[in-house]
Amino acid sequence: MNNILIYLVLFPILTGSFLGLLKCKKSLKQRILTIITIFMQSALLAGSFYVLTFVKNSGTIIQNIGNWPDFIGITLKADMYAVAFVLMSICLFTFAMIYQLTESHIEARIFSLLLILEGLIIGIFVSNDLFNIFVLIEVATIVISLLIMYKKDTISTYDGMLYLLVNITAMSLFLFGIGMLYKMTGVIDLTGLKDILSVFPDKKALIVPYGLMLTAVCLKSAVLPLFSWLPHAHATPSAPSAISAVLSGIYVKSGIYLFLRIQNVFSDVFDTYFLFLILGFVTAVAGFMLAVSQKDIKLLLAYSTISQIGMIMMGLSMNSVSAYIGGVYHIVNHAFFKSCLFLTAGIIIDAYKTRNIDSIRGVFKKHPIVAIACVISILGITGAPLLNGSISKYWISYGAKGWAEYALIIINIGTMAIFLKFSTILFGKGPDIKMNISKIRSLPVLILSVMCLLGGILSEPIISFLFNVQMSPNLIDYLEKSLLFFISLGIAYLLYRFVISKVNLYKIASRLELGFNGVCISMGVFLLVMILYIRVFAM
Amino acid sequence: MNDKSFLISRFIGFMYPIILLIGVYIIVNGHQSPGGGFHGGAVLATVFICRYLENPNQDLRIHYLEIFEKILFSLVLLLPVILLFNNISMNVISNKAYLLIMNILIGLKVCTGLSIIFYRFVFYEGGGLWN
Amino acid sequence: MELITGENISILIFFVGFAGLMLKRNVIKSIICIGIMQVAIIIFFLSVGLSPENVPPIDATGLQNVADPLPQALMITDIVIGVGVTATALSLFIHMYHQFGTADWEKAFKLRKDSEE
Repeated sequence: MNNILIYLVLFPILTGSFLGLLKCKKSLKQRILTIITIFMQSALLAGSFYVLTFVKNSGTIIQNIGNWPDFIGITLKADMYAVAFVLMSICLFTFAMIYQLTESHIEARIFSLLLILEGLIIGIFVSNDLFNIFVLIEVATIVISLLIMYKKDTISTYDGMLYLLVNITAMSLFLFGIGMLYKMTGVIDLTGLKDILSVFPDKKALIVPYGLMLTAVCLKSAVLPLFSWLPHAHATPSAPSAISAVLSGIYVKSGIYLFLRIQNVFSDVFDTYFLFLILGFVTAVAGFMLAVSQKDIKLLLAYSTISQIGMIMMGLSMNSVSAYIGGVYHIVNHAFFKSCLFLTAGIIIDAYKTRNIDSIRGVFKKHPIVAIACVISILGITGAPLLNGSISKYWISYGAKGWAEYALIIINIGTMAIFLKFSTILFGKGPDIKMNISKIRSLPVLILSVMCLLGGILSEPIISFLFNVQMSPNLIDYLEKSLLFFISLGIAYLLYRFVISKVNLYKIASRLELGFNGVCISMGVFLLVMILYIRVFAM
Repeated sequence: MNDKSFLISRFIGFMYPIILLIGVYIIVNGHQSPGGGFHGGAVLATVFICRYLENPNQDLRIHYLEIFEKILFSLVLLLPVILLFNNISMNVISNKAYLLIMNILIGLKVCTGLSIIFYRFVFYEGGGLWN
Repeated sequence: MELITGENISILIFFVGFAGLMLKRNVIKSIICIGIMQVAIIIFFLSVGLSPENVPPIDATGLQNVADPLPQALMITDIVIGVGVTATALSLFIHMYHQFGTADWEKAFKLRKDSEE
């Protein structure tokens, strides 16, 4: 079973391509798609479980394609983080595809694009070679912009075009950085780069490639000045909700995964932890302030993604092991509850036929199953005790020192305020509609929320299963953090009641959106500021 | 848009055998000098574009071009899988023959691919691009 | 030292393309600027370690100075990616033009905001 990594990447892509050529009768279409989806996803799940247990027992798998010696050819590497993320993405794709199968109008083209995207994302997580990552991300950008622009109406056309051009520009910057690195060192492989850069004599020459590559990675993972493309791409009105769930749950995490890898390679050369701590905090604050002022359900969820990514970036840059594991576990948790929230939002939008948060009320009485799933995900994302969000936030604040602890408390209060506003759709008296949701439609959402619950109660075995470390929370500290949760909930409720619902923040927020030229100018400014910062502070 | 220019159509009628010859030369000499399938295929695609410039009406049947391209694609995938992964013995003559055949296949595929993209833009400019 | 080498020219062209992205408001000009940036990257990769007395790496024997084949192979992939991206961007632009009636980023942004309310 030497070539299993290659099969994990190639199998969905080939099936997706052949599915696109399928032409058959309408009545037969749904059955064929169901069979193909179930077969493909179970094969992929079995394969990734096998790889996970193999890596836990025998260490990292490194596979050189074509049997070239190390550092010369293309390598695929599967270590603990990569395989954990591959498993997480396959799970989420399964739920998204089951949700898409229960839509009223099924087309084979969406499924073939989703399968191709799944293969590409698995490839991004396991590849060890910078140019390979570049090619896979470019193809994924094209596939995603086709998916965003699927229904071809006015708003989604603009969003898809903006998404495509901004990401291609960022990847051109990334490729330029790879070119400069190759000119200096002659190696493109990540492990080879790490070895060479630790003994590289001239560190000043590495500033510009590092700045270029990090600007591109920061745009893909949506930190402060560069996140304007994200909310409209993730929450565009006419894209299927499964697409939003996949994009917000998995694809934006591949940007953070690249950030992990590149920081790992350059860790002996530059010390930029403080810069990313500040950037993460500012991103999180901007995220929740913009989220609170939105009127559209899906845009609110997309802006809260930005806020959580800011928190993950803070956790990854705190220079301590427990905060690092907390940040990585928060990536997995956030994928689960954000996809659950997007899928429930999709169901609610289909039932109520509107996206405005002021017109939807009374979900709890009419559709109790969907509402319970929604409530569990909201408790998860705000960090209620016994759910998975609280465990990852506990580990991040365990490694925080000084002002970072108070920063995390502020971000938590902001997140709670956002979801207090979101949960107003659950109560109250709704319009009189006759809409029943089939049991199959609410099934994936329910299973996702139950997994969120399990992720909190069984957090120790899950962390040791996925990442091979043993992390047991101290019980007294955990109770103290739970008390802090209830106090912050009170403060957030007061804030919401007396400040937010009185001030009309929507006008201020809608003036701050950037067009395409604005995004490019902010990329240039970010690059210059980064290069100056590293030259002055972090050498 | 749909009327042809006399000057261009006479000159293209004179030029296109030369372009065809240059394209075939670049493809066939790919294993010895710079060039190969990709670049020769792009030059060959200009022959199809020349045909449109000379006679701008919509009578090219794209359907057969698409079928041809898909056959070429599957051949390009099959040939290395059959030959390389079964370790057929490699001496100098069969190396050069393999490179020649792959170059010709890739050149034809790039040519048909690029001309299909061009014709789809031109024929369906008024909307309805996604059948 | 020489001033007109492959690397210097490619850095200049790359930042000309990037400045065009920041300053021009037409969508087609943005797509052209992305093409300019990709050409600059291709020149940069191909000029890694190249000097006038290198021979092509085909049928080279013995003690000649051979040009590096790795960036050339990578750049063939990159040219194909550039063609694919340009084709996708142009066909998406045709749809955008039919929806909005304009090829200007600012006007399309205003139209999008109006149709959202």
